[in-house]
Amino acid sequence: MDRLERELQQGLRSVTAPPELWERVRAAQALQPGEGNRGLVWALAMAVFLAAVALSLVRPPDEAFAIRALADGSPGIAFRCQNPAQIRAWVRANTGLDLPLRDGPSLSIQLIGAQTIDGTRGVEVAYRAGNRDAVLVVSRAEAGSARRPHARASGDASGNVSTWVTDGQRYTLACNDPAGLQLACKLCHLD
Amino acid sequence: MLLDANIPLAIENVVEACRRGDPDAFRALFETYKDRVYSIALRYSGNPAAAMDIAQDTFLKLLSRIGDYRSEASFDSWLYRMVVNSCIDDQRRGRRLAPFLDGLVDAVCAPAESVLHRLMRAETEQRVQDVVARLGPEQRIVVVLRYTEGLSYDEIAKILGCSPGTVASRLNRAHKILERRLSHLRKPEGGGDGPA
Repeated sequence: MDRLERELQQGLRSVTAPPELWERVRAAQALQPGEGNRGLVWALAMAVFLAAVALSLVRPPDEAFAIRALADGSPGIAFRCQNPAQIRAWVRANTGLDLPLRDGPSLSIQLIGAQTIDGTRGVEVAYRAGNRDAVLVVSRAEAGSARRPHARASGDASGNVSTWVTDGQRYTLACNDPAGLQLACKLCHLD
Repeated sequence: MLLDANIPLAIENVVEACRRGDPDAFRALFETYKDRVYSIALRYSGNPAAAMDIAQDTFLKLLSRIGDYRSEASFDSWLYRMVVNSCIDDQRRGRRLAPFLDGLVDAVCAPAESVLHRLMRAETEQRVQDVVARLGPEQRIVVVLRYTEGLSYDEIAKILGCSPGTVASRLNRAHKILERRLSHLRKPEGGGDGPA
């Protein structure tokens, strides 16, 4: 054996693993989801997915749209504007709907903009109420729909969504938390 | 399943028990392979902290992938492949190769040798580790598997998924580089004590 090989064997010789290696492996192993846990995680994820699908089927489209828009931060806003009169005109021109927005809304209301839903079926108005995000979805009510007062949406357990029907239009208001709903009403109503 | 350290068990049986989720079997595999895994990791990375990370990563992979192991292949080769991949992954994460000083410290602390001899030996080992650390990854892993584990060309080829000829070629190139880099650091053989 030549000198180089001797030096390599000596310099690269096998060593003993530090005793703490086992503890490290065990600790890391405990942090990893095990096979059983992984199955549980998949089952839970599937249950949440199915529940979401079921909820979206049960929930009227406007409510589902409002909740999704709120969760996603209203990504599809086509007309960004903070002026209520201009938003009202834009909505009327693009959908034929009339939004009773206050000309001079409360100082706690800050408009972000609007977008149409499914062509001319409805409109979403995104805004901030205080420090909370809010979404108002307005669409045409089904023919013959009776006037319906403000009510918490039936399918929404969180209490963050309110719906009502008036003057042939269906309104759906969604806010980040239930307390914000009252403030969000100031988009159209007096203080 | 209880594993008595005094009774040698066929590794296939331990692997099979580990596949069934037997924690004692995993511990037995760990005890059997920990030094080999850690040594490869240390000699490849040149860094004890990195070697611990690589060894830990390897055993976690072993546990999570043991179901994929097919018994017609050698378990050693299968595990070595995981160590090699962990070494390469660790390097990809951009860890710097640190100077390896532990050998020097160990040499000074080890008994039954003159301090001067120990320091000289440690210095030589340090030089070898330094020049090996400067090899490219493909040559370095071949050198480590050959000299740390004493594996044959065929065994290394199986682990790396290449031909024995490729292993020989990489090792040959590595030898030339190492010889050149080490030669001008060496004293003449048996040097230092000859007549003036």
